[in-house]
Amino acid sequence: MKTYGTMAVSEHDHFVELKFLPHVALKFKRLFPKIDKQSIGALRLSMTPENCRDLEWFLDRYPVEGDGFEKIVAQSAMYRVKMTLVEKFLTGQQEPMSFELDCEKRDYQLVAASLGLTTGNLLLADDVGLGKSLVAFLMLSQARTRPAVYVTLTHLPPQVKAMLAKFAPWLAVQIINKGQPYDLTRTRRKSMPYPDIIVMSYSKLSGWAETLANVSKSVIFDECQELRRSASARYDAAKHLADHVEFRLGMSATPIYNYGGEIFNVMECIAPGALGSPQEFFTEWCTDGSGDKSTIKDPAAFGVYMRESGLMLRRTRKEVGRELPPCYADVQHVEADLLALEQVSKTCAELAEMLLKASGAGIDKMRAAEEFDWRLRQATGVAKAPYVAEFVRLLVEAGEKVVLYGWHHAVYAIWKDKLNDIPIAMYTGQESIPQKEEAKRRFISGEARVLMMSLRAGAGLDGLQGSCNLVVFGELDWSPGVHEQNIGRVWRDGQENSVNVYFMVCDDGSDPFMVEVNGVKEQQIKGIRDPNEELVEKLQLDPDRIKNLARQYLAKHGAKKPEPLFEEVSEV
Amino acid sequence: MTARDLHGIIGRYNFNYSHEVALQEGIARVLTIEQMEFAREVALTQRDRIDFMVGRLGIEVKVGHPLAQVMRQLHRYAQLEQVDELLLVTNRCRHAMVPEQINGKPVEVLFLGWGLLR
Repeated sequence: MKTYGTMAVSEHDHFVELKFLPHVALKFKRLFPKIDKQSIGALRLSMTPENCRDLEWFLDRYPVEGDGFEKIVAQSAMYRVKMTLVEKFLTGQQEPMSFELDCEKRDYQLVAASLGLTTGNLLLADDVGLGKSLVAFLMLSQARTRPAVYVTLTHLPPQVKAMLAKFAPWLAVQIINKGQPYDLTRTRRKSMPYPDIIVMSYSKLSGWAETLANVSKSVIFDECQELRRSASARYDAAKHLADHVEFRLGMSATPIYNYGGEIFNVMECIAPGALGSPQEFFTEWCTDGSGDKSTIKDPAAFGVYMRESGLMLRRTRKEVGRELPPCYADVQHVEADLLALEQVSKTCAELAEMLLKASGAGIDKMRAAEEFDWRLRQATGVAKAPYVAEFVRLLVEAGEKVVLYGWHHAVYAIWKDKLNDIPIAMYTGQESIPQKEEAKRRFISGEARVLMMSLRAGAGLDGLQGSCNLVVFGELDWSPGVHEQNIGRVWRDGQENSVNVYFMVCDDGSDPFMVEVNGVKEQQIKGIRDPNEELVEKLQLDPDRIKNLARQYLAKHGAKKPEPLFEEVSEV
Repeated sequence: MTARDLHGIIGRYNFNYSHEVALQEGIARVLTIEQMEFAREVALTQRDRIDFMVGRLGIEVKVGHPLAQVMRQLHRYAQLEQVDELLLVTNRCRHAMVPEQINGKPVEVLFLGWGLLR
């Protein structure tokens, strides 16, 4: 038989090295876009099951000499079996598994849990509030997944433990409270069995990963966008843990917050090696170099690939027939206190010059960039603050409860001062976990009318939806995922009314540029998650809500007609 | 139909695009939905090809691109007899800095960023 080159499999079967005749090498590079077009000589391809499947097909047409072909065939066969199962689950040809869990289980949750147990690697990116945690609990209800580690955001372990106690009371659950490992089978007074499920925050991972990797069968990464940056001890710890367990589930409606390159880091902890080597991933999918800030050139194509390969499962509310009352979002252009912006303009100009200078140390530029961001963003928040407070007052006086998002303490201070006669609860980085729980309780019970939350404190928080349907963004975040998460605190299962969201923006300061950056990032996440989204969507008006608000306001303040505050409202 | 009217009409839509061609496609779809007669990729001169013409109103679509380059392009279009008004549809906030009039012809800028928050 004629052969066209040679092949060799590396030690530990990490990659296969191929040397082809020149014309076959050209063809190989064209068919395998993950191979750098400039590479010459031996071509390296990582031995993922998917690559092996493609390689088996290529080597059928262009056979080579060498060892290891049987390993390629074996991996390829595994891939075929897996893909057949994935397809059957996704098309409904395969009945989902049954689970013993004491709660209402929805079909789409059973499918997700079955798929997760079948493949062992799943990114579950269902819409915010569709009950992703329950999918994790379903998986953990099977003995083969335990002991398990459930990693979540700092403020959420008590919420997770309470849910597990409700749905699976027979499981022993322990929250890890310290960064350094301790004996999980002993407390001061008594000894106890090793827990079935260990709940911990991401910040404690680095101390515990080694210890837990030896005994755990599965890991759940809740709000897995936390793994989007690779350069940290906790990322290394998460990766270490993921490499040693049998089942991995990542959950987040917003698996990336910024640019598409982040998805590689996230997926390395959920399906280690599935996207190939970093170089292969960035060569195949991204436009500008490698790293977290690299953008995916065709997010929709990547999104389809992730779904088809069973790595990601994403269902919208519409797809699973659990549509909520509508959510209307509106952009309010407010005036700004120009003095606040002028005060920082000189410093900002100096910092900007420094940033743009060709010379200068990288570290100085980095600090200048941070300070530039901080100063201009805070000044923008301060400049808008009085107008935002006035707007919130109007809503509260019309009888509403409001979740108000901000970022800078200087801004919270102005809001608190301007709303000092209205009971407020605070949920920011300065409150401890018990204080946050108390703030949540006060707001839900109605003792507080406004919940001031930090933009980055809210992800995963549950329980506000029963008592509030108004969200105001007094400051913006750099990531659209953060806005979505924050809206999802209120617009989620259990919300019985339509939700209104107001973005308070000004045409000066940092807002326009932040919105522009948000736009670029939004197109990345949207493409990956919802590749079949319509090219255009018409924004719907919601005049009723405004009329109702105006009526309520007039009822409280007599017949004096208020100035029109709203220009246009539209549906998300 | 003025550039301002068209700004209002296109501004009522949200676009899903990862590159300029997709955004152009989206705008073509909106103009079709709104039952407007338009022409695409109109060669105004040998050198200049504008993205859309709606009657005598020109629409230029930009994803990225430096401000100076966009200004030069709009300036060239504004010199042409067959163009009365211009609408720039862009994803960059800096493009809002183009003048309200060039060569006495009104120029409107639709910055898509605000709409994407919704």
